Formats: sequence, structure tokens, C-alpha cells
Amino acid sequence: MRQISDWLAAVFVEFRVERERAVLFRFFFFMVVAVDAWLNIAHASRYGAGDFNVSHFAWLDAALPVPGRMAMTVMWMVQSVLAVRIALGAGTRWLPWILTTLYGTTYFISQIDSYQHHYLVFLALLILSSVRFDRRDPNVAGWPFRLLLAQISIMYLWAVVGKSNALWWDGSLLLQQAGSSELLVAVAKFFGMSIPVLCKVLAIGTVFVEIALAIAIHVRVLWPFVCAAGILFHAVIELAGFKIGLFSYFMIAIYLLLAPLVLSRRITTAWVPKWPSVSKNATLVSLVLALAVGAGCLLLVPLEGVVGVVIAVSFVAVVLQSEDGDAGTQPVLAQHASHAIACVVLLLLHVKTDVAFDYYRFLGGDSRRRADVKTAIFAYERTVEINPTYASAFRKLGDLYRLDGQLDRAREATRRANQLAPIGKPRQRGGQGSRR
Amino acid sequence: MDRRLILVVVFLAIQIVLPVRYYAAKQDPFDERFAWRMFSEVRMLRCRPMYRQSGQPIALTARFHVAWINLARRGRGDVVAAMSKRLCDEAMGSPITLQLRCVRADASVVELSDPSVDQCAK
Repeated sequence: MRQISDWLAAVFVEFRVERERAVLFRFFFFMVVAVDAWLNIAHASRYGAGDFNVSHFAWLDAALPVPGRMAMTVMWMVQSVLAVRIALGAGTRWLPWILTTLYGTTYFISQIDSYQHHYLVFLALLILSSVRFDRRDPNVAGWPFRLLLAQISIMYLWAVVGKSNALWWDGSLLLQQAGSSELLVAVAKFFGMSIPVLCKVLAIGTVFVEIALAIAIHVRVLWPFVCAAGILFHAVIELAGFKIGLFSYFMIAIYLLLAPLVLSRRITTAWVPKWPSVSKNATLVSLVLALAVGAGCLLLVPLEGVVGVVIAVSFVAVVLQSEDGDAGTQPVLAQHASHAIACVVLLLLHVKTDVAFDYYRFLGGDSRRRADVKTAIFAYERTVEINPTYASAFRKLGDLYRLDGQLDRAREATRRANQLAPIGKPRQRGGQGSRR
Repeated sequence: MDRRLILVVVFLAIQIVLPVRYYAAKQDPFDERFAWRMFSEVRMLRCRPMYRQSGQPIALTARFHVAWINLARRGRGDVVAAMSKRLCDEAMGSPITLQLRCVRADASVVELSDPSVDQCAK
């Protein structure tokens, strides 16, 4: 028992990760968490529809109310803001615990989200909440990182077990799931082999790669090669077109933990700003400015519950103005700036993606199917506010207004729809993001 | 033992043992959650849930969000059970039957529910 304890101590407790590696990994991993949380919002209308829900655990069904779309939207937006703050290195002592709690809630509360990579991210967040980024040691006490790598190995090895069947080994499953992928077609053509044969080769190769990565990930001297191989492996999976959300991006971010130290140092030295200490008055001014910028950005996002998000993240910004004492105090200016930057990033995500548009579009479609006319009208009205050239929404509004007895509005909506896309011509789709 | 080591051991034990439940207990062979099964043959399962109330087909899209119907199409047992319970609660005593015919990745067909059984009598 003592020998096992000593061995575990040597493997985990004495494990160290250079600060530069930890910072590089932290930035990319938490930025992907932020983007992923934001993208989830598009499908928030699934939650609470018809007051029906099945959570991942039966006891959760009894313990928590059926999650509604607004509650989920607020939780995801708050997650996104907090994740950016952590990525920037602000609030790394307590924010990860808050983020993990929110993330776990939004995942486990409903089987609508059964993505395995979200389960992996929850486990990663739980582990990483124990990392003391706030301490300024050149080597970060690394037992959470060792545990994270162990979790990756466990995932790969169980994934290999799951592939232990004839349909995987002969390439049939891969052919069914990705056989029409442009990448596979191009590779098959390049090597002069048929797609079924290529799928068989890749299926067998995947098993060996996963076993190799599961083992090599723990051999420090192999880290540069494992980093490259892991990133390449998951980049190919992403390019092959599997519908797996941002799983590949999360894995690539995790492999950055193993990036060559010289690369990590070069990147983090160039990026990490040196924040000055400032006077008390200046602290108050910077806080007010940060809160104002943050609220201003968030209120421009046309999603339900955004006021709740402003209140929540502003509260966090005010309460968590400094890290715990001793060696870990981070300049207050960095805390305030990170709050403002996180809210700006959220606004940018809104501008660059169709999430808000899709949120209302999906809400409208689902409400229509369940004959919830009032909600459908609300949703499509928001849709055309975001994209006034979306003819399909005007057409549906015309039908809905008619059902609701609002005949003048029905006529106007139908007229607008015909103006934008006369019957018989190709329909236009997309929100503001897709206009780029 | 160091408190951190206890946490590590507990965490690893859970993560190693939890997937064993899928292979050993197999309460629902089509529920792969927490088992780290990816791109599996179970993922390729395609089911067609057809509910009937007193013999008349029920339009599921009017009662449930399509996300839940998609989970039922993947044979997710506890989602199907919850959908059956909801329909029974709303049926006011009328019998609700379910035909859940599924096609596996190898093109074999499996019936996951007996369409002659009243779901509300379970």
C-alpha cells in the first residue's frame, strides 16, 4: 500500500508543468470553451419545449425544474464570458469552479446534450479548477494536468474497446459515417485506392493511433512528437466532416499542453501583458469603465435573458476584483480589463456567427410545429429584426398572424415575403453571419 | 495518504469503472453515455418510433421537440420511456402502444418494443 502511495505521489504530486505551457494551454482551451458555450445557444429552444425533459440522472429530474430556454441561454452566455476571463488569466482561482458548476448543470440537466465531448470538457474543467494559475511559480504544480492526461488515456483506451467489432475493423462503420467526405475522396484518389479500402486502412490505423497516444502522452521526452501527432490526428478527424461539434478543437487545445517549450515561451512572452499597479481612485474608474463597456456590449446581443447575464457577470467582476492574497495577487487593472474584453468577445461572437438568428429561427419552427402561435410570432418577429431580408420568416409570420386573427399584419408580412422572394424563385436563407 | 492522491484515485476509479457498466450491466445497449464509445455501430442505429392512441397514430412532432424524437430514433431507452409516460399521462385512460422498429448498422432489424402492449399498463 505504501509502495503504491509512493508511486502515485511520484507520478502525480511531483509532476510539474512549465508555466508557459500551462498558460498557452489555458488560453486556447478556455477560448474553445467560450466559443462552444456560445454556439450551444442556437439550440436553447429545445430546452423546456412542451415542459418535457429527461436529465442524465433520474435523481436530477426530481431535484431540478425542467430547464427553460432562457435559463439555458443565460447560463451559456455567462459561461462564455467567464471562460474568456479565465483564458486571459483573470480570476483563475475561483472562476473555474463557477464555470465548472454552470457547465455541469447545462450538460447533465438534459439528455438533449449527449455529446461525449461535453462530458469530457466537464471532467477537464473539474480537474483544471484545482490548478493554481494564480501562483507565480515558474513550474505549475501539475497533478491536475497529469490527471487530465490520464483521463485522455482512459478515453482513448475505452474508445478502442468500443471499436472491437467486425464492422469497425472492416471499415464499414467509417464508410457509413464519413465515406462521402471530400477529404477521404481526395486521399483515396491520391493513393489510387477505393474508398472502402481506404476506410478499412483508416479504421485499423485509428485503433493503433489511439493506443499509441494513450501511452505516449505520459512520456515527457516524446511530448513534441505526441503534440504534433495528436493535433494532426484530430485535425484530420475534423476535416473528415464528422458531426462532432468542437471536439477536435478541444483535443487540439489539450495537446498544446505538450507543445515544445521553446514555442510555448515564445508565444506567451509575446502575448502576456505586464499590468501596472494603480491608485485606488484609478481602480474605481477602471471598474466603472469595465462594467460600462461590458454592459454596453452585452446589451447589444439580441438574446432573451441578456439583462440577467449583465447582472451576473457584473456581480462576478465586482466581487472577484483581486485574487487571494500572498504571492498570487493579480493587478486589479487586469481583472477589470479582462471583464471588458470578455464582453467584447461575446459581442464579436454574435456579430460573426448566426447564433442569435438561429436561436429565434429554431424557436419559431418548433413553436409552429407545436401550435404555439404566440411564441412562434414572437420568435419570427425577432428573426426578421436580425435579418430583415429573410423572406421565409415573413412568409411564416403571414401564416401565423392569420391564425392569430391579425389580418392587417398578415397581409403586410406576406407582401414583404413576396417582395423579397417571389413565389417560384429560389429562397434566401441565413442570418447576419452568413452574409459575410 | 495525501488528500490530492485520494481525489486522484477516486477520480480514476470512477472513470475506469463507469464504462464497465455499459459492457457488464447493459441495461440499455443503445445508451452509450459515459462509456467513451465513439463512431460505434450503436451510433448508426436508426429507429422509427410509432405511437398509437386507441389505434390512431400520434403525431409526435406536435407533442415533443424534434430533439427528443431524434433521441428516440436512436433507441435511447429512458427517453422513450419518458415519452411513453407523458403520452399516457395525457391519454386519460386510452391505451397507448409503441412500435419501435430499428435498423442496425449491419442492416439487421430489431424490434425494441412490442406494439401489442399497452404502454400505460406497464
